[in-house]
Amino acid sequence: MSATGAGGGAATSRHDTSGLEPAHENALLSVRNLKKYFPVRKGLLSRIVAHVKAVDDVTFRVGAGETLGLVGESGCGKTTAGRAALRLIEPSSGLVSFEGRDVLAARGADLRRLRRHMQIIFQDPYASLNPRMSVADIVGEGLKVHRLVSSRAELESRVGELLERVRLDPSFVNRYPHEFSGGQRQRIGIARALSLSPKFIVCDEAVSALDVSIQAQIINLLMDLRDELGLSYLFIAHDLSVVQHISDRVAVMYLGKIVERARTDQLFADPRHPYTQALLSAVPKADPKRRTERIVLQGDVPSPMNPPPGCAFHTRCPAVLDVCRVEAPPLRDAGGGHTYSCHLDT
Amino acid sequence: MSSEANGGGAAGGAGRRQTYSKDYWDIVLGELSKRRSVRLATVLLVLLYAVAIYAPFLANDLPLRFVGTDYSEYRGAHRLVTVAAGDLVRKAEQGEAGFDEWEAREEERGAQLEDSAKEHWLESRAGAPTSFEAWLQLDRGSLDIRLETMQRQLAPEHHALLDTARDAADAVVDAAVAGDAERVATAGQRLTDAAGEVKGTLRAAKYGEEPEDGRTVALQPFESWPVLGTLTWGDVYFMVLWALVILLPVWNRVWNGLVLGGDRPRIRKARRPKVALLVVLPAIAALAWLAVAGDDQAKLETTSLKEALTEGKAEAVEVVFPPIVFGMAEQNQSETFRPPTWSDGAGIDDEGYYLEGARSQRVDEATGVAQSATPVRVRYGEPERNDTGRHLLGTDSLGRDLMARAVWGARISLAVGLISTVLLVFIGTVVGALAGYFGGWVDIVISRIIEVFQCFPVFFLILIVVAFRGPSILNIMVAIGIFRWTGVARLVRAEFIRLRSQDFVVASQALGMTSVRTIFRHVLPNAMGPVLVAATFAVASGILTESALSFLGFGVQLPVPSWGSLLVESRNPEYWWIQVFPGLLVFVTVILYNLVGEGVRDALDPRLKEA
Amino acid sequence: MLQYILRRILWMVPTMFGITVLLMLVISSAPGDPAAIATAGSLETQAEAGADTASTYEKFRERFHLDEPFHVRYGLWVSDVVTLDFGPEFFRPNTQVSTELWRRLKVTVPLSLIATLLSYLIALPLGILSAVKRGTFIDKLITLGLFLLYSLPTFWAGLMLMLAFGASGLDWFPVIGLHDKDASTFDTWTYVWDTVWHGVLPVATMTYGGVAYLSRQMRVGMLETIKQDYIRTARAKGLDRRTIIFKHAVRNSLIPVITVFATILPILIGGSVLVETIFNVPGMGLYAFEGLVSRDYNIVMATVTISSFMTLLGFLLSDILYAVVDPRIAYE
Repeated sequence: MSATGAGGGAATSRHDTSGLEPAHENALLSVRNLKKYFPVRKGLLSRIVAHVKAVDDVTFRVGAGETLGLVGESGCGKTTAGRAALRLIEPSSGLVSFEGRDVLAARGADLRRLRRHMQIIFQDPYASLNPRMSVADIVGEGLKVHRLVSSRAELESRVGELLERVRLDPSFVNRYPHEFSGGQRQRIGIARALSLSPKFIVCDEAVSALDVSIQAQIINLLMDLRDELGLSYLFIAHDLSVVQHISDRVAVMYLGKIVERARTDQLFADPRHPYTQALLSAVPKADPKRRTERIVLQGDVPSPMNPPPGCAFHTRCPAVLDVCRVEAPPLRDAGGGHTYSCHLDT
Repeated sequence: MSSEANGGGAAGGAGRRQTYSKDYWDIVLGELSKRRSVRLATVLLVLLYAVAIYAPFLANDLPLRFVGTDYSEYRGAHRLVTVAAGDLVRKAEQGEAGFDEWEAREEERGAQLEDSAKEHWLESRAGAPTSFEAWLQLDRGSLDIRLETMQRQLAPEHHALLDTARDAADAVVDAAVAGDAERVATAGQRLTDAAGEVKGTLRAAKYGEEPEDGRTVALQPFESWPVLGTLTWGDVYFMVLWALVILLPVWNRVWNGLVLGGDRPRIRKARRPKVALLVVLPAIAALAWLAVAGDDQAKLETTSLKEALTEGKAEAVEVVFPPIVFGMAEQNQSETFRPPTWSDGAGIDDEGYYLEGARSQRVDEATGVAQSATPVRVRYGEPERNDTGRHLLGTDSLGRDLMARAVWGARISLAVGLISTVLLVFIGTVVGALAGYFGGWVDIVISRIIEVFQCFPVFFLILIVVAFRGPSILNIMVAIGIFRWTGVARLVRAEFIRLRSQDFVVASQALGMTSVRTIFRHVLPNAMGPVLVAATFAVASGILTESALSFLGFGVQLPVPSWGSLLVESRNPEYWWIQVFPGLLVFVTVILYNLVGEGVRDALDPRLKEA
Repeated sequence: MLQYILRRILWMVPTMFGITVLLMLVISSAPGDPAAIATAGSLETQAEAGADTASTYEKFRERFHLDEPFHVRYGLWVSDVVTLDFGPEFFRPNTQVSTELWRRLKVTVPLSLIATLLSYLIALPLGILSAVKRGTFIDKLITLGLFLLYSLPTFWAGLMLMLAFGASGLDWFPVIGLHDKDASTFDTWTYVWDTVWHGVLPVATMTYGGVAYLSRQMRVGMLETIKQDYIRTARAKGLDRRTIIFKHAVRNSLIPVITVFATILPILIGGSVLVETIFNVPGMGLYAFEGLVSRDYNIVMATVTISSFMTLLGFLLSDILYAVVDPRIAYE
């Protein structure tokens, strides 16, 4: 088996469990003040009347070998953030750097070369594979385009290796996507993402569309791959229990902003932000003896076109204070890399 | 149609673990062949196109094969040998100076013309000689043709004389080019003598006469394939192509079975080579034809072979005529507006009066004026006068057989439909793809343009364009293409918009592919489904438009027939066959295309999009 | 909503601009000189009479601005058209195109309207019947018939109708024009009846295409609607079949079919050339055709402009109807 491990090399151990966010300079992927606003046009001349602030000043970093979980409910902007970080969506402003190189300034062939290191796995297994291409073509296309193989035979053997890595029978190479189940399709998608030997993969709700039993399989696969290949993940999901298993650190998003971030164990043991608390309370616990109150949030999620003033969460917060309606919440530090934005003192 | 779709069963061959997975085309072709109406319609369309493509072999006044003698042709050549020789000698004697004078005169003439007359003149001068030698070669060639024509009907013993003449002619040309006046004179004399001898001793003996030694000769039968001589390289291309298409089930099975041993994945890989074969083989044949047969063969002004045979000016030993023994433009003034010969009221008596109906009257009942009639002239090889199969669809105002004209007319009608569709699909796809993929202001501008075009009363505009720019096939095809692309553009745009946000397209972006590759490899193939459906219907619509244009008089101009223009020969309800049959042909063709189109639409149902 | 309508109306302006410019470009680029053609006849007689032929030709050119550059001609034309003046006919300079056009419109538009109405009257029940009786012999028969009608070329259909029902066939209907030769002597009722009788075949030719198209749309729409969940709910509620069909299914499938109405009208007007030529009906289509044949720029420009305008109106109406019925559209 060829060394398809992380290129970055020696300094990366497997995931760093110190739980501290790496400094921007040391991080594999550094995202600073990322914003993505979608213009809303109305009227006779299609004037811009408002913006949908899908991602509103988001900052995070992912270290080598590390998995950052990004959670939030539908529409909070996590998918947009993930894709913007890969520049699959053009950010409105902000800085994204990968291994120190500016992703947003790269152009043409440079950008395409840079992309080799940062890949993505999609949510919908039925839309993420070109129905007209065989598995061999799908998985091998990246290799062909970047000229990483020099012969047909080499291509075939690499594709076979990749399929084995994702625990698929290599004899599937000549089959077409419509013959596979959702879980198998996801594996094909993972094999495709691995084909260029990336260091960083965005898992965009990669298991959300799968049956629960299959979810576990895929997550385990992802974790095994991370160990085998030294990968870093940005794991986007709306289900906290899924995230808990795989992530080293977790960031919680609400209405385009990150409201809390911490090491996984910290977050689950001691959630500070009311939103996080509400999310956690909804997670079914295995222990029947522990009865937690279900925190039910009132009201609907406000529209990202018109976020509420002050703290974006104040319209639904069970512990809302007057100041929350007016002032943006400060960043508080709960120690050990655990920060959150809230007016409430503990 | 051969269907390559079988289920996912194991391929033949022992020990193969691999099962065959159906890909997109397997599924589509499988769906299509399931429907009986589609299979039937496709077969019929193939046959229809075959009729159009092989028209020269189906309806022609020239024989397919002729073995015999043609007195009129021989005589025509023989008479003019001395003339051609004389012209050559004269020009040679004039020398370069003569050529320059001639050129100057031509230019003068051209300068006096204007506008379209000048255009015509320039066109006709396109191949004009540009040098003294070329100028001479004109007459040399003309002499050659005449000698050739004579030679093929002459017994070998007479060939020597012809060779002498040829040698003499060559000598004249050489001498003239060299500028040697003396040699020109001697060679010229030799040529004149030889030509004279040819004229004097090689006259053809009339049929039934004995040849006189030294004066006349008996003509020898020769073999010719007249129809082949009229084929252009374009004809050959499509004939070979269509032969391959018709025989597809056969050679496809053979290829799959023998060469590939029934191995399904290899069969799938063999698709490209097969398509390449379909495109390249005919091209090779066409090029070969071009090389062997050359460009326009100069035709002598002789009466047609059929006419000659009828008049006894040619004699056949063996002759094979096409099934329909009438040509596209072959007139017969004695048989105008004749009903189909299988219908009542088509019979004609010996004097030329009909057996029934208005034209059977010797005297016009209403006016008391005597009606004359000419006996029907039945030419060589044609069915008898009252044979039920003589004119299956009747005749038109000039006595031309409608069936023959319908067969040739198919070429125009079917071609216009097809080519205009190719054009509009191309334009529509490009425009729609640009709008759909790039979005932004490109999309806005293009969408507005599409809207503008959509509001045009399309038929009106096509009519106007054709009316004002001239009714040629090219104009019609281009006009249809230019005004009908918007439908396809909208479809493609919608598909591109839908597809560009599909995950697998984003994936290709993430993998670092260029836009170009993404468009061509990922988006376009998946977008073409609806386009295929639209294209099929567009062909039907193109055929309808062309016929309507021809019907209104703005279509392809006579004497080239197209189904629509056949209809307009006469609006007299007495001559019902003129209106019924050509329209029926259009109707049937449209039905077939609509059947195929609906079949394709059903087969490409969304269930195939994301299987 | 109002904004939507306004926007659509405003868009008509550049569209008309585009069409008319394109039109004039095409016409102007034609070979042949209309002035020469027009004055040819009179030139001969004048030459014989010894009059000055050159000036007639020049006058013609001047009168119709044939020597001006394109944008000038276009500008002049537009400024006239705004006052609904389409100029005089080339070959009958005493007749104004607009007057004649109006006369012709009064023939074509009613005919098209009637044809459209008839199409709906026949097509809707046919489509519903076909959908409701899906799979039965009746349905198959109807579907086959509609398919054949759909594929039938218009001009041929017209000719066949003439042959079958005209003087040489069953002689049920007259086939030329809209009025009998002596129509002006008829009293009102006979006149009306005569017109109607003359109109049967042309209208039939204009109608069958619409019937084929609309029935199929109706059928498809019904079949789609019947599959929907809310129909299931209705059945579960225990409603009888008839109510279900008419109250729910038909109403909802009707929507796309109705909105199409506004586009059928212009199609008919555009296609009237064929029908009117065949039956010699003095409508706008025939007028356009005559203009084409005689290369009369004014007539051609006028007829196509009006026809395009009506097409645009039709689309606009259709979009408005659609937006009224389906509020989602207006918010795009």
